[in-house]
Amino acid sequence: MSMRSFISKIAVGAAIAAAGAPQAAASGLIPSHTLLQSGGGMGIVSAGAGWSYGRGDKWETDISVGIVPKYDSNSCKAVLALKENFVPWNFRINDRFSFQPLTASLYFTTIASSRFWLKQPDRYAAGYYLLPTKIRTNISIGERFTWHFRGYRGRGQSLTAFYEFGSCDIYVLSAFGNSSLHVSDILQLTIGLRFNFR
Amino acid sequence: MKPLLTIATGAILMFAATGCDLLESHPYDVNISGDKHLTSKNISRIEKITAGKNSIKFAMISDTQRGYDETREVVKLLNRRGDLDFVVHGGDLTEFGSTREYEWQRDILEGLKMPYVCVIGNHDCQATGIDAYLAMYGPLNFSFVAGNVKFLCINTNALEFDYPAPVPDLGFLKKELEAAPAGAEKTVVLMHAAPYSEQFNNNIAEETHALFRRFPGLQFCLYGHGHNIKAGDIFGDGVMYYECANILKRSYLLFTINPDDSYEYEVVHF
Repeated sequence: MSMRSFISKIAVGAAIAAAGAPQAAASGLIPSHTLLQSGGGMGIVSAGAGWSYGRGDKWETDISVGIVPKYDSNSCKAVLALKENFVPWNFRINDRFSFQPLTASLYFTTIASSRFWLKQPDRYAAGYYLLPTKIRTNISIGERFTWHFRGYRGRGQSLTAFYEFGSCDIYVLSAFGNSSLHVSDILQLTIGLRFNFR
Repeated sequence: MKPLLTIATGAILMFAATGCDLLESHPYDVNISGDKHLTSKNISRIEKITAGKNSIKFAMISDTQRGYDETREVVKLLNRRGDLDFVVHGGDLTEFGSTREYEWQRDILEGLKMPYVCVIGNHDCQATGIDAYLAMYGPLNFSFVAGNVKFLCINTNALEFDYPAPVPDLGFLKKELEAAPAGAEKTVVLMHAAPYSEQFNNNIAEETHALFRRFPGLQFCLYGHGHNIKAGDIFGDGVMYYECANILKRSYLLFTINPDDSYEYEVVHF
Protein backbone atom coordinates (compact mmCIF):
# COMPACT_ATOMS: atom_id res chain seq x y z
CA MET A 1 0.00 0.00 0.00
CA SER A 2 1.46 3.33 -1.02
CA MET A 3 1.76 6.13 1.52
CA ARG A 4 -0.80 8.13 -0.44
CA SER A 5 -3.45 5.42 -0.44
CA PHE A 6 -2.65 4.65 3.17
CA ILE A 7 -3.27 8.26 4.21
CA SER A 8 -6.35 8.60 2.02
CA LYS A 9 -7.76 5.38 3.50
CA ILE A 10 -7.35 6.76 7.01
CA ALA A 11 -8.83 10.13 6.07
CA VAL A 12 -11.80 8.71 4.20
CA GLY A 13 -12.36 6.01 6.82
CA ALA A 14 -12.34 8.49 9.66
CA ALA A 15 -14.71 10.81 7.82
CA ILE A 16 -17.16 8.03 6.99
CA ALA A 17 -16.96 6.52 10.47
CA ALA A 18 -17.68 9.94 11.92
CA ALA A 19 -20.62 10.49 9.59
CA GLY A 20 -21.92 6.98 10.22
CA ALA A 21 -22.83 6.49 6.57
CA PRO A 22 -24.58 3.13 6.19
CA GLN A 23 -22.95 2.34 2.86
CA ALA A 24 -19.56 2.56 4.53
CA ALA A 25 -19.87 -1.00 5.85
CA ALA A 26 -19.82 -2.29 2.34
CA SER A 27 -16.87 -0.16 1.32
CA GLY A 28 -14.66 -1.60 4.07
CA LEU A 29 -13.55 1.86 5.06
CA ILE A 30 -15.05 1.88 8.50
CA PRO A 31 -12.57 0.85 11.23
CA SER A 32 -12.28 -2.86 11.98
CA HIS A 33 -11.50 -2.23 15.64
CA THR A 34 -11.45 0.38 18.38
CA LEU A 35 -8.93 0.45 21.18
CA LEU A 36 -8.24 1.82 24.64
CA GLN A 37 -4.67 1.74 25.86
CA SER A 38 -2.17 3.15 28.32
CA GLY A 39 1.51 4.07 27.99
CA GLY A 40 3.90 3.60 25.10
CA GLY A 41 4.39 7.37 24.86
CA MET A 42 0.82 7.62 23.46
CA GLY A 43 -0.78 9.07 26.59
CA ILE A 44 -1.58 7.79 30.04
CA VAL A 45 -4.91 6.83 28.51
CA SER A 46 -5.54 6.87 24.79
CA ALA A 47 -8.44 5.83 22.62
CA GLY A 48 -8.45 5.15 18.94
CA ALA A 49 -9.55 3.07 16.01
CA GLY A 50 -7.84 1.02 13.36
CA TRP A 51 -8.07 -1.00 10.20
CA SER A 52 -6.91 -4.56 9.56
CA TYR A 53 -6.02 -5.48 6.01
CA GLY A 54 -3.83 -7.65 3.87
CA ARG A 55 -3.77 -11.43 3.59
CA GLY A 56 -5.06 -12.91 6.87
CA ASP A 57 -5.46 -9.38 8.26
CA LYS A 58 -1.80 -9.39 9.16
CA TRP A 59 -1.39 -5.63 8.74
CA GLU A 60 -3.09 -2.97 10.78
CA THR A 61 -3.10 0.81 10.93
CA ASP A 62 -4.25 2.49 14.15
CA ILE A 63 -4.83 6.11 15.04
CA SER A 64 -5.33 7.25 18.61
CA VAL A 65 -5.63 10.33 20.76
CA GLY A 66 -4.22 10.27 24.27
CA ILE A 67 -3.91 12.42 27.34
CA VAL A 68 -0.60 13.46 28.86
CA PRO A 69 -1.39 14.63 32.40
CA LYS A 70 0.08 17.91 33.65
CA TYR A 71 2.41 16.29 36.21
CA ASP A 72 5.14 18.91 36.86
CA SER A 73 4.71 20.69 33.50
CA ASN A 74 2.65 23.79 32.81
CA SER A 75 -0.34 22.05 31.25
CA CYS A 76 -2.10 18.84 30.32
CA LYS A 77 -1.39 17.87 26.71
CA ALA A 78 -2.96 15.81 23.92
CA VAL A 79 -0.85 13.29 22.02
CA LEU A 80 -1.77 11.81 18.65
CA ALA A 81 -0.37 8.51 17.44
CA LEU A 82 -0.26 6.87 14.01
CA LYS A 83 0.69 3.22 14.35
CA GLU A 84 1.40 0.40 11.90
CA ASN A 85 1.23 -3.16 13.30
CA PHE A 86 2.32 -6.46 11.80
CA VAL A 87 0.64 -9.55 13.29
CA PRO A 88 2.17 -12.58 11.55
CA TRP A 89 0.53 -15.44 13.45
CA ASN A 90 -2.86 -16.22 14.89
CA PHE A 91 -3.32 -19.44 16.91
CA ARG A 92 -6.62 -20.87 18.04
CA ILE A 93 -6.51 -22.01 21.68
CA ASN A 94 -10.11 -23.28 21.87
CA ASP A 95 -13.51 -22.21 20.57
CA ARG A 96 -13.48 -19.05 22.69
CA PHE A 97 -9.85 -17.93 22.78
CA SER A 98 -7.02 -17.27 20.37
CA PHE A 99 -3.44 -16.12 20.82
CA GLN A 100 -1.32 -13.80 18.69
CA PRO A 101 2.25 -14.53 19.87
CA LEU A 102 3.92 -11.58 18.16
CA THR A 103 3.02 -8.07 17.16
CA ALA A 104 5.64 -5.77 15.72
CA SER A 105 4.86 -2.07 15.48
CA LEU A 106 6.29 1.16 14.19
CA TYR A 107 4.56 4.34 15.26
CA PHE A 108 4.85 8.09 15.38
CA THR A 109 3.47 10.38 18.03
CA THR A 110 3.00 14.11 18.06
CA ILE A 111 2.09 16.53 20.82
CA ALA A 112 -0.40 19.31 20.27
CA SER A 113 1.48 22.21 21.85
CA SER A 114 3.22 25.35 20.61
CA ARG A 115 6.22 24.56 22.82
CA PHE A 116 7.17 21.71 20.49
CA TRP A 117 8.57 22.21 17.01
CA LEU A 118 8.64 20.07 13.90
CA LYS A 119 10.93 22.28 11.84
CA GLN A 120 13.76 23.81 13.83
CA PRO A 121 12.96 27.52 14.35
CA ASP A 122 14.98 29.92 12.17
CA ARG A 123 16.90 31.38 15.12
CA TYR A 124 18.97 28.18 15.32
CA ALA A 125 21.82 27.32 12.98
CA ALA A 126 21.14 24.31 10.74
CA GLY A 127 21.44 21.05 12.69
CA TYR A 128 21.65 22.83 16.07
CA TYR A 129 19.41 20.20 17.63
CA LEU A 130 19.37 16.57 16.58
CA LEU A 131 15.66 15.71 16.66
CA PRO A 132 12.41 17.64 16.34
CA THR A 133 10.68 17.80 19.72
CA LYS A 134 7.22 17.44 18.16
CA ILE A 135 7.55 13.99 16.53
CA ARG A 136 8.66 10.85 18.34
CA THR A 137 9.41 7.65 16.44
CA ASN A 138 8.73 4.44 18.34
CA ILE A 139 9.06 0.72 17.82
CA SER A 140 7.51 -2.04 19.90
CA ILE A 141 6.84 -5.76 20.03
CA GLY A 142 4.11 -7.50 21.97
CA GLU A 143 1.52 -10.24 22.31
CA ARG A 144 -2.25 -10.48 22.26
CA PHE A 145 -4.99 -12.70 23.67
CA THR A 146 -8.39 -12.60 22.04
CA TRP A 147 -11.77 -13.68 23.41
CA HIS A 148 -14.32 -14.56 20.73
CA PHE A 149 -17.81 -13.96 22.14
CA ARG A 150 -19.58 -16.13 19.57
CA GLY A 151 -16.92 -18.71 19.16
CA TYR A 152 -13.75 -18.77 17.10
CA ARG A 153 -14.62 -18.59 13.47
CA GLY A 154 -11.85 -16.36 12.34
CA ARG A 155 -14.39 -13.55 12.08
CA GLY A 156 -17.02 -12.14 14.40
CA GLN A 157 -16.92 -9.77 17.33
CA SER A 158 -14.11 -10.28 19.78
CA LEU A 159 -12.15 -8.56 22.54
CA THR A 160 -8.36 -8.48 22.58
CA ALA A 161 -6.08 -7.74 25.52
CA PHE A 162 -2.52 -6.82 24.57
CA TYR A 163 0.78 -5.60 25.84
CA GLU A 164 3.80 -4.23 24.04
CA PHE A 165 7.35 -3.35 25.03
CA GLY A 166 9.11 -0.73 22.98
CA SER A 167 11.27 2.34 22.96
CA CYS A 168 11.59 5.67 21.18
CA ASP A 169 14.25 7.53 19.20
CA ILE A 170 15.39 9.66 22.18
CA TYR A 171 16.02 6.65 24.40
CA VAL A 172 17.73 4.53 21.75
CA LEU A 173 20.08 7.40 20.84
CA SER A 174 20.78 8.01 24.55
CA ALA A 175 21.67 4.37 25.16
CA PHE A 176 23.90 4.22 22.08
CA GLY A 177 27.52 4.01 23.24
CA ASN A 178 26.57 3.93 26.93
CA SER A 179 26.98 0.54 28.55
CA SER A 180 25.63 1.92 31.83
CA LEU A 181 22.17 2.43 30.30
CA HIS A 182 20.45 -0.93 30.11
CA VAL A 183 17.59 -2.16 27.96
CA SER A 184 15.32 -1.97 31.02
CA ASP A 185 16.13 1.77 31.31
CA ILE A 186 14.88 2.58 27.83
CA LEU A 187 11.74 0.41 27.73
CA GLN A 188 8.22 1.71 27.47
CA LEU A 189 5.23 -0.52 28.18
CA THR A 190 1.84 -0.30 26.50
CA ILE A 191 -1.17 -2.24 27.75
CA GLY A 192 -4.57 -2.10 26.21
CA LEU A 193 -7.83 -3.57 25.06
CA ARG A 194 -9.36 -3.57 21.62
CA PHE A 195 -12.81 -4.39 20.46
CA ASN A 196 -12.83 -6.10 17.08
CA PHE A 197 -15.96 -5.62 14.96
CA ARG A 198 -15.21 -8.48 12.61
CA MET B 1 -23.42 -7.82 29.09
CA LYS B 2 -20.35 -10.00 29.63
CA PRO B 3 -18.18 -8.14 27.09
CA LEU B 4 -19.09 -4.83 28.68
CA LEU B 5 -18.11 -6.19 32.11
CA THR B 6 -14.81 -7.39 30.68
CA ILE B 7 -14.11 -4.04 29.10
CA ALA B 8 -14.91 -2.27 32.38
CA THR B 9 -12.68 -4.64 34.38
CA GLY B 10 -9.89 -4.23 31.88
CA ALA B 11 -10.20 -0.46 31.96
CA ILE B 12 -10.04 -0.45 35.77
CA LEU B 13 -6.95 -2.69 35.75
CA MET B 14 -5.39 -0.43 33.14
CA PHE B 15 -5.91 2.68 35.23
CA ALA B 16 -4.55 0.84 38.31
CA ALA B 17 -1.43 -0.09 36.37
CA THR B 18 -0.74 3.49 35.31
CA GLY B 19 1.23 3.97 38.52
CA CYS B 20 3.95 1.90 36.84
CA ASP B 21 6.80 4.05 35.44
CA LEU B 22 7.07 1.88 32.34
CA LEU B 23 3.59 2.99 31.32
CA GLU B 24 4.93 6.32 30.15
CA SER B 25 2.47 8.82 28.75
CA HIS B 26 5.18 10.63 26.78
CA PRO B 27 8.97 11.16 26.97
CA TYR B 28 8.30 14.86 27.66
CA ASP B 29 5.58 14.24 30.28
CA VAL B 30 7.61 15.66 33.25
CA ASN B 31 6.33 12.80 35.41
CA ILE B 32 9.39 12.78 37.66
CA SER B 33 9.91 9.86 39.98
CA GLY B 34 12.39 10.15 42.82
CA ASP B 35 14.08 13.17 44.33
CA LYS B 36 13.07 16.71 43.41
CA HIS B 37 13.95 20.28 44.54
CA LEU B 38 17.62 19.31 44.61
CA THR B 39 19.15 22.81 44.40
CA SER B 40 17.80 23.99 47.75
CA LYS B 41 18.65 20.65 49.40
CA ASN B 42 22.22 20.72 48.10
CA ILE B 43 22.73 24.41 48.90
CA SER B 44 21.82 23.69 52.54
CA ARG B 45 24.44 20.95 52.59
CA ILE B 46 27.11 23.15 50.94
CA GLU B 47 26.48 26.03 53.33
CA LYS B 48 26.69 23.67 56.31
CA ILE B 49 29.87 21.91 55.11
CA THR B 50 31.70 25.17 54.31
CA ALA B 51 30.44 27.30 57.22
CA GLY B 52 33.29 29.33 58.76
CA LYS B 53 35.82 28.18 56.12
CA ASN B 54 38.04 30.75 54.41
CA SER B 55 39.33 28.29 51.83
CA ILE B 56 37.16 26.08 49.65
CA LYS B 57 37.88 23.44 47.05
CA PHE B 58 35.41 22.39 44.37
CA ALA B 59 35.29 20.60 41.04
CA MET B 60 33.39 21.56 37.90
CA ILE B 61 31.90 19.19 35.35
CA SER B 62 29.70 20.18 32.44
CA ASP B 63 27.72 19.08 29.40
CA THR B 64 27.23 15.51 30.61
CA GLN B 65 24.52 14.93 27.98
CA ARG B 66 24.66 11.44 26.47
CA GLY B 67 27.85 10.75 28.45
CA TYR B 68 26.30 8.41 30.99
CA ASP B 69 29.34 6.11 31.23
CA GLU B 70 31.77 9.03 31.58
CA THR B 71 29.56 10.82 34.13
CA ARG B 72 29.42 7.65 36.20
CA GLU B 73 33.21 7.44 35.97
CA VAL B 74 33.81 11.05 37.01
CA VAL B 75 31.47 10.65 40.00
CA LYS B 76 33.62 7.72 41.19
CA LEU B 77 36.83 9.74 40.66
CA LEU B 78 35.53 12.81 42.47
CA ASN B 79 34.33 10.66 45.39
CA ARG B 80 37.73 8.99 45.60
CA ARG B 81 39.55 12.35 45.93
CA GLY B 82 38.16 13.06 49.38
CA ASP B 83 39.28 16.72 49.29
CA LEU B 84 36.28 18.42 47.66
CA ASP B 85 33.69 20.52 49.43
CA PHE B 86 31.22 20.32 46.54
CA VAL B 87 30.79 20.01 42.76
CA VAL B 88 29.29 22.45 40.26
CA HIS B 89 27.76 21.39 36.94
CA GLY B 90 27.74 23.80 34.00
CA GLY B 91 24.47 22.60 32.46
CA ASP B 92 23.33 20.39 29.57
CA LEU B 93 22.46 17.41 31.69
CA THR B 94 20.35 16.19 28.79
CA GLU B 95 20.66 15.98 25.01
CA PHE B 96 16.93 16.21 24.27
CA GLY B 97 15.41 17.67 27.46
CA SER B 98 13.30 14.56 28.09
CA THR B 99 12.19 13.58 31.57
CA ARG B 100 13.97 10.23 31.65
CA GLU B 101 17.29 11.82 30.65
CA TYR B 102 16.93 14.17 33.63
CA GLU B 103 16.26 11.16 35.87
CA TRP B 104 19.20 9.14 34.50
CA GLN B 105 21.60 12.03 35.06
CA ARG B 106 20.22 12.80 38.51
CA ASP B 107 20.53 9.16 39.56
CA ILE B 108 24.22 9.18 38.56
CA LEU B 109 25.01 12.58 40.13
CA GLU B 110 23.24 11.56 43.33
CA GLY B 111 26.11 9.09 43.67
CA LEU B 112 28.39 12.01 44.58
CA LYS B 113 29.30 11.93 48.25
CA MET B 114 29.51 15.72 48.27
CA PRO B 115 26.65 18.10 47.34
CA TYR B 116 26.37 19.50 43.83
CA VAL B 117 24.52 22.28 42.05
CA CYS B 118 23.68 22.49 38.37
CA VAL B 119 22.73 25.43 36.14
CA ILE B 120 20.36 24.87 33.24
CA GLY B 121 21.86 24.33 29.77
CA ASN B 122 20.28 25.09 26.40
CA HIS B 123 19.69 21.40 25.64
CA ASP B 124 17.89 21.08 28.98
CA CYS B 125 15.40 23.73 27.81
CA GLN B 126 13.96 21.74 24.87
CA ALA B 127 10.20 21.06 24.88
CA THR B 128 9.19 20.61 28.57
CA GLY B 129 12.80 20.54 29.78
CA ILE B 130 12.51 23.83 31.66
CA ASP B 131 9.56 22.43 33.64
CA ALA B 132 11.59 19.32 34.44
CA TYR B 133 14.55 21.44 35.59
CA LEU B 134 12.30 23.64 37.74
CA ALA B 135 10.75 20.59 39.42
CA MET B 136 13.90 18.51 39.79
CA TYR B 137 16.41 21.26 40.64
CA GLY B 138 14.63 24.56 41.30
CA PRO B 139 14.85 28.20 40.14
CA LEU B 140 16.81 28.98 36.96
CA ASN B 141 18.76 31.71 38.80
CA PHE B 142 20.03 31.11 42.31
CA SER B 143 22.91 31.87 44.63
CA PHE B 144 24.58 30.39 47.68
CA VAL B 145 27.49 31.13 49.96
CA ALA B 146 30.25 28.56 50.42
CA GLY B 147 32.57 29.69 53.23
CA ASN B 148 33.27 33.30 52.33
CA VAL B 149 32.49 32.93 48.61
CA LYS B 150 29.16 33.79 47.05
CA PHE B 151 28.25 31.72 43.98
CA LEU B 152 25.96 33.35 41.44
CA CYS B 153 24.36 30.66 39.28
CA ILE B 154 22.51 32.13 36.33
CA ASN B 155 20.58 31.08 33.27
CA THR B 156 22.24 32.50 30.14
CA ASN B 157 20.40 30.48 27.45
CA ALA B 158 18.64 33.48 25.93
CA LEU B 159 18.05 31.74 22.59
CA GLU B 160 15.74 29.24 24.33
CA PHE B 161 13.40 31.88 25.74
CA ASP B 162 10.93 34.29 24.15
CA TYR B 163 12.22 37.84 23.93
CA PRO B 164 10.32 39.33 26.92
CA ALA B 165 11.93 36.80 29.31
CA PRO B 166 14.97 38.48 30.89
CA VAL B 167 17.87 36.14 30.14
CA PRO B 168 20.28 36.77 31.77
CA ASP B 169 18.09 38.27 34.47
CA LEU B 170 19.76 41.57 35.37
CA GLY B 171 16.97 42.19 37.89
CA PHE B 172 18.01 39.05 39.74
CA LEU B 173 21.64 40.18 39.75
CA LYS B 174 20.70 43.63 41.07
CA LYS B 175 18.61 42.13 43.87
CA GLU B 176 21.51 39.85 44.76
CA LEU B 177 23.78 42.91 44.88
CA GLU B 178 21.44 44.71 47.27
CA ALA B 179 21.01 41.68 49.52
CA ALA B 180 24.72 40.97 49.90
CA PRO B 181 24.96 38.32 52.64
CA ALA B 182 27.33 38.98 55.55
CA GLY B 183 30.63 37.17 55.20
CA ALA B 184 30.53 36.82 51.42
CA GLU B 185 33.80 38.57 50.63
CA LYS B 186 34.36 36.91 47.27
CA THR B 187 32.21 36.00 44.27
CA VAL B 188 32.23 33.29 41.60
CA VAL B 189 29.78 33.24 38.67
CA LEU B 190 28.50 30.00 37.10
CA MET B 191 26.60 29.92 33.80
CA HIS B 192 26.08 27.59 30.86
CA ALA B 193 26.74 29.77 27.81
CA ALA B 194 29.42 32.48 27.99
CA PRO B 195 28.98 36.07 26.78
CA TYR B 196 29.35 36.34 23.00
CA SER B 197 28.31 32.72 22.43
CA GLU B 198 25.31 32.28 20.11
CA GLN B 199 23.07 31.50 23.12
CA PHE B 200 23.87 34.67 25.07
CA ASN B 201 21.85 37.90 24.79
CA ASN B 202 24.86 39.74 23.41
CA ASN B 203 23.06 43.05 23.35
CA ILE B 204 23.66 43.15 27.11
CA ALA B 205 26.87 41.13 27.36
CA GLU B 206 28.91 44.10 28.60
CA GLU B 207 26.20 45.24 31.00
CA THR B 208 25.95 41.74 32.45
CA HIS B 209 29.70 41.53 32.91
CA ALA B 210 29.74 45.01 34.46
CA LEU B 211 27.16 43.79 37.00
CA PHE B 212 29.30 40.73 37.81
CA ARG B 213 32.19 43.10 38.52
CA ARG B 214 30.15 45.04 41.08
CA PHE B 215 30.02 41.95 43.32
CA PRO B 216 32.65 41.88 46.06
CA GLY B 217 35.95 40.18 45.21
CA LEU B 218 34.93 38.70 41.84
CA GLN B 219 37.30 35.76 41.38
CA PHE B 220 36.33 34.35 37.97
CA CYS B 221 33.39 33.16 35.85
CA LEU B 222 32.69 29.53 34.93
CA TYR B 223 30.80 28.19 31.95
CA GLY B 224 30.30 25.14 29.73
CA HIS B 225 28.48 24.85 26.39
CA GLY B 226 31.59 25.09 24.16
CA HIS B 227 32.67 21.47 24.82
CA ASN B 228 36.33 22.47 25.18
CA ILE B 229 38.80 23.60 27.79
CA LYS B 230 39.41 27.33 27.52
CA ALA B 231 40.59 30.11 29.76
CA GLY B 232 40.23 33.69 28.61
CA ASP B 233 39.91 37.28 29.70
CA ILE B 234 36.85 37.82 27.49
CA PHE B 235 36.36 41.52 28.29
CA GLY B 236 40.07 42.40 28.58
CA ASP B 237 39.72 43.64 32.16
CA GLY B 238 41.49 40.87 34.05
CA VAL B 239 38.35 38.82 34.92
CA MET B 240 38.94 35.26 33.78
CA TYR B 241 36.27 33.09 32.17
CA TYR B 242 36.98 29.34 32.40
CA GLU B 243 35.26 26.92 30.03
CA CYS B 244 34.73 23.34 31.20
CA ALA B 245 34.74 20.69 28.45
CA ASN B 246 31.89 18.25 27.93
CA ILE B 247 32.23 15.01 29.85
CA LEU B 248 32.85 12.97 26.69
CA LYS B 249 36.25 14.73 26.52
CA ARG B 250 37.00 13.11 29.89
CA SER B 251 38.14 16.05 31.99
CA TYR B 252 37.00 18.17 34.91
CA LEU B 253 38.16 21.46 36.41
CA LEU B 254 39.43 21.86 39.94
CA PHE B 255 39.44 25.13 41.87
CA THR B 256 40.83 26.06 45.27
CA ILE B 257 39.97 29.48 46.60
CA ASN B 258 42.68 30.36 49.09
CA PRO B 259 42.35 32.44 52.27
CA ASP B 260 44.37 35.27 50.68
CA ASP B 261 43.31 36.85 47.41
CA SER B 262 44.52 33.94 45.25
CA TYR B 263 43.03 30.82 43.75
CA GLU B 264 44.29 27.71 42.01
CA TYR B 265 42.92 26.35 38.75
CA GLU B 266 43.69 22.89 37.42
CA VAL B 267 42.41 20.76 34.55
CA VAL B 268 42.22 17.06 35.45
CA HIS B 269 42.05 14.53 32.61
CA PHE B 270 40.84 11.01 33.25
